Amino acid sequence: MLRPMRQDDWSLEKEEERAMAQRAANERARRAGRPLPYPNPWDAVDPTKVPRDASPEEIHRSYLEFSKICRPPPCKRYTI
Amino acid sequence: MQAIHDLGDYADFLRELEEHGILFAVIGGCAVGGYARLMGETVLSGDLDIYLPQESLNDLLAWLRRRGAEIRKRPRPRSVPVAVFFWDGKEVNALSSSQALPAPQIVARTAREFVLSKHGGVVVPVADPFDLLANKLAVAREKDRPHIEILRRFCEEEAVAALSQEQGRQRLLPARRLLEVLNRTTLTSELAERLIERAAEPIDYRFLISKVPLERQARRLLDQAPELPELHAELSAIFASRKFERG
Repeated sequence: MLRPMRQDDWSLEKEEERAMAQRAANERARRAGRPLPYPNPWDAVDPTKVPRDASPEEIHRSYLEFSKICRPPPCKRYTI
Repeated sequence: MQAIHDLGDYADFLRELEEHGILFAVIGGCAVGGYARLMGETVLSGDLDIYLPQESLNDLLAWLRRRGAEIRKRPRPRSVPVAVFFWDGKEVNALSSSQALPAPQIVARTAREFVLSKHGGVVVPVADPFDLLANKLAVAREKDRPHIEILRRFCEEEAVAALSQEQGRQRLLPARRLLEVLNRTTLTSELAERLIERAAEPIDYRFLISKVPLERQARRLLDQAPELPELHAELSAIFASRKFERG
């Protein structure tokens, strides 16, 4: 359960230790082919996210999704 | 080399590049000539300069070899990355890097399209004028001075047009880019006058009061700004912190 963090508990060293431990746990789970214990919550809602072993088709689909979110500006065209 | 060519003289070559899907953008004198034409002026060039990623340059050279084109110079390691060849007797330089230009992939993506109406509607990607201006300023050759002048005027016109026609942050983008490319913190007095005349939105006033060079121009902005108390307080604070040029 999420609890508000107590200010006096907080330290940069502890935060770094926690983040590195979570990263290591994720890496172990990934190697073992298990679901990540600490997934990035944004991954579930990000249509541009691809797995590490994405196929060229998956990367292309991701690019198309990205283009929808972040369209290149319309090209200026002149007739001379 | 005589400056006698414009984009139209290379229409067949440019059409072939387009048909072969080679990623590129025109830079150099022919590109400046395209923008000059839009202002009713003529600029000719002795050759055509195209800017393309290394991979596209390799594809181009392979294609030229198959076509039996005369290749005068190939890019060599640790030398200027340019290939020089002749197309229909006219010189073409293909570069994969050039001073102050972003990577060729970026320049090709942000290029503007020129449709050559007298040549069957060939669509030619020409590098963005702000990028071209930055490139010409960085190269700083005496013969580029007229080109710099034309590009500067074109970019200024774009800054003025944006303030008249665009919405939101797009209104100020060309003026901001021009300052960045010219490495200046304030506008020229002439451009400032034209922009002051067209200022309408609070963002215009916030930008201009920090960028006009003369005190009287900043006072004019304070006088003509919309009657919004917070805006006036903000403009007054910027005005008080400014240093102005004499004039």
